[in-house]
Amino acid sequence: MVLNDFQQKLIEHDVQVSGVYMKNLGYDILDHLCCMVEFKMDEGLPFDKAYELSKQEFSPNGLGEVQEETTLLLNLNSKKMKTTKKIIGITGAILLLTGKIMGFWHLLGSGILTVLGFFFLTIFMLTQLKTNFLEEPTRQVKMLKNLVVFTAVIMLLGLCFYTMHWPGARILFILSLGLTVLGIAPLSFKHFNGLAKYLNGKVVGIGVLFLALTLFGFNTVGYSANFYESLWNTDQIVVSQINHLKSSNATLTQSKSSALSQELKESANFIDQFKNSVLNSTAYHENYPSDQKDLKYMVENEVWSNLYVHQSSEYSLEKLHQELQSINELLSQNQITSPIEIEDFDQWKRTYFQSKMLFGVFMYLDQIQLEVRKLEREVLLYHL
Amino acid sequence: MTMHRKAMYISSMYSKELIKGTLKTIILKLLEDNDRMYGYEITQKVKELSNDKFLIKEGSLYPALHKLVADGLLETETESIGKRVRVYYRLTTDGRKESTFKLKELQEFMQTISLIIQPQSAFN
Repeated sequence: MVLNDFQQKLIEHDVQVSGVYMKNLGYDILDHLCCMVEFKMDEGLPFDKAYELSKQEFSPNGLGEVQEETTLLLNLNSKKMKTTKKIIGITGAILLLTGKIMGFWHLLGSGILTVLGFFFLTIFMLTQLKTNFLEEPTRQVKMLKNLVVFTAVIMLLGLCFYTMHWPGARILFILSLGLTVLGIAPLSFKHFNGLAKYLNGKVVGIGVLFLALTLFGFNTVGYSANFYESLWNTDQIVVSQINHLKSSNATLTQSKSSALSQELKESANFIDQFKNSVLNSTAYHENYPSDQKDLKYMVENEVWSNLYVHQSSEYSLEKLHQELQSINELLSQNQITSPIEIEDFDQWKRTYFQSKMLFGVFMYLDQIQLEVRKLEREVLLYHL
Repeated sequence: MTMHRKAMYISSMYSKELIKGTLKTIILKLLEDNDRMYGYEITQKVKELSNDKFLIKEGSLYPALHKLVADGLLETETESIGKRVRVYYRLTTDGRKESTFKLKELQEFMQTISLIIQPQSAFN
């Protein structure tokens, strides 16, 4: 005998109100109960009696108990897994944080700790591939979840490479961005309804972590809109580190490297004065047209002409060139490779100053100043 | 709670401890022999093969089935039967390997047990 629609709806309603939320388990219970009732009705029992008996046989303590047992069994091993994941994640975070803090003070072993931190966090992300959802998700949702984890792993590797100054970080970031834009985003939109069902705390957590990593990654790799500001910030950090190194070593004054660091400091100060000189000479001029139509042209020429005007003064372009050349000579005498490339005067002048906007000239000057300060820091750190 | 769990495994003849340890093997073996089966069919098959001596309670069958699915040993497929949905269970490749292993393990276990409880006959 086959149950009629009303009888089946009645059983279905009971299954729903019993709190069974797992889809396939709900199907299992409904089908099983229907089969049992149909069998008893075939033996001659009326529906009410057959259903009552079937419920008693199936689960005397209520249908919800079957789900309780199922959840308990499913979570038995995952409890250990969860603890392991937590340990891996926390270890990774602690190692990374310690590595970065130690790195700030240039302590030995900071690099290893940072790499280990990234390694543990990558393992943590990979363990998410084995995460069980409350329901068996569809193939597309599974694929999407795996794609998110895979992209996050690439992002983590990119961050690790970037932090350690290894080549290839940019490629990894671009790859993860490509996967996000071309894979994750379209799939998320396409399967949003299917995905929404599985949006528990864990998924949201992974999503937030992934988003944070993406933003952090692209910010640190230099995609920040305000490059000039980040240059200035770096400069401030280097200056504060130099001051710290000097204050922490009182025996500095007589050593050979102290003379070198002093030279570098004077060069950095020279560049600073040169910048002031350029800035003062190109400040707002009454000759600027009122509608500022040709401002770009005026600024370009103003910078250029004023640099020439100042050639005979204390902070001329030639003197800056000589200053940079003397730094390079000094460094080569101390067997240090210079990061500042200086061509012959005319070539250098054409490349960095001639017909350049004030902003472009300043950008170059700030960069070489930062390099000089970094060199000063290196000398203080490793040649004391 | 303990009492409830006890009731869920009890069959008509054997204690829950005996059934609990063999339930996974029984499910795997049945699915190995029958390609795909649904829950009610499994309980009836066990009842039939054991001459009503072995009854799997639904409260222990479905948690075990869902655990096997979560472990990747079984896969499911749904089919509409009238206005309700029937979930069929089928062995995966890993499930087949596990089934062979579990059967061998159980057979060896039974031989060892017989050595202990019937040492005389084993010696002869």
